[in-house]
Amino acid sequence: MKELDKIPKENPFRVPENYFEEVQKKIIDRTAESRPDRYTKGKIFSIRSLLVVAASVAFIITLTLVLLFVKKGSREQIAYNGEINGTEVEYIMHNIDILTLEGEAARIWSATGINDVDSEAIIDYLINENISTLEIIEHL
Amino acid sequence: MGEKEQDSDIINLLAIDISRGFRLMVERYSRRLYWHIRRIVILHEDADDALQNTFMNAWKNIGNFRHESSIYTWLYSIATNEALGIINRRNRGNAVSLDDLGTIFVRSLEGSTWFDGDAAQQKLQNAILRLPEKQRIVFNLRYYDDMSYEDMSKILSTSVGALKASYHHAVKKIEEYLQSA
Repeated sequence: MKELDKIPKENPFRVPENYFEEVQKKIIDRTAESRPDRYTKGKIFSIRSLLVVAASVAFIITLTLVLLFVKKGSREQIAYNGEINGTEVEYIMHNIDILTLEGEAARIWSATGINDVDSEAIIDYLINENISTLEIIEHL
Repeated sequence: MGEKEQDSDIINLLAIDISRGFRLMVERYSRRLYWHIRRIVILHEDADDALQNTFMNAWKNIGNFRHESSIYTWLYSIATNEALGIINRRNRGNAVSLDDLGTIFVRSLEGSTWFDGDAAQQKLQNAILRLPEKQRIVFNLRYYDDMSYEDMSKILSTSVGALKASYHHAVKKIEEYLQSA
């Protein structure tokens, strides 16, 4: 039998009474004085922040695609209903807005001599009657 | 519960509430780290300093902790470095030979209030304290902590083969000392 095996494997060292309770409290108290580096579970970037970034990118891409398709769809719908070609629709989409309509209407009403009716009120009335802006333009 | 399972509950709690997670880490590891440090530095006062520094370093660097290692091996690495740092500071400026260092350790042990081993245990400690520093750490981790060579390899950044050889040499030297003394 080896000499080492004859000696009981016991810890011969001692510590002051309640040492571990006291040192644990001391360590915890000391941590309150400083903040650690930001802890992220496992990786430099947390899964949560990666998900936020991925969701944001997906949202932007989806929004862009939806806007592109809606715009394209609107053009095709206008072209179909009004039997006007794509170039004319393109022009209307980019150049005709409600203020232009009001300006045009005012010019025509003025030419007819009907000055006691406000052009803005007429267009508002037509829109309220569910007359599309395209039809209003056609009748100007 | 294995070390890895123990670590996982600390890791989960750290992600939810870092203070509570750290508290659990301190409660679970302070005793075993203290004994690991104490066997290196011998004096209780030095072990106390090194233990507190170990946890303060862990707290400061908790954000750098990577899951490639476990909390267990990570803390043991910090504790070992703190303990060796204390020994180096103690011997700084003094060109102390290995034999002299062993003698200094033995005297520290004999004069320590916090040692109550019997004659056989005193003899064993004398033998351990005469080992080269790294052999001493390897022997203590294996003999007292029953640590696997794989975990030891992560802590000491040494190959498993080299650690086995180191433990074998340590046991041989201790056996020779015990037979001769």
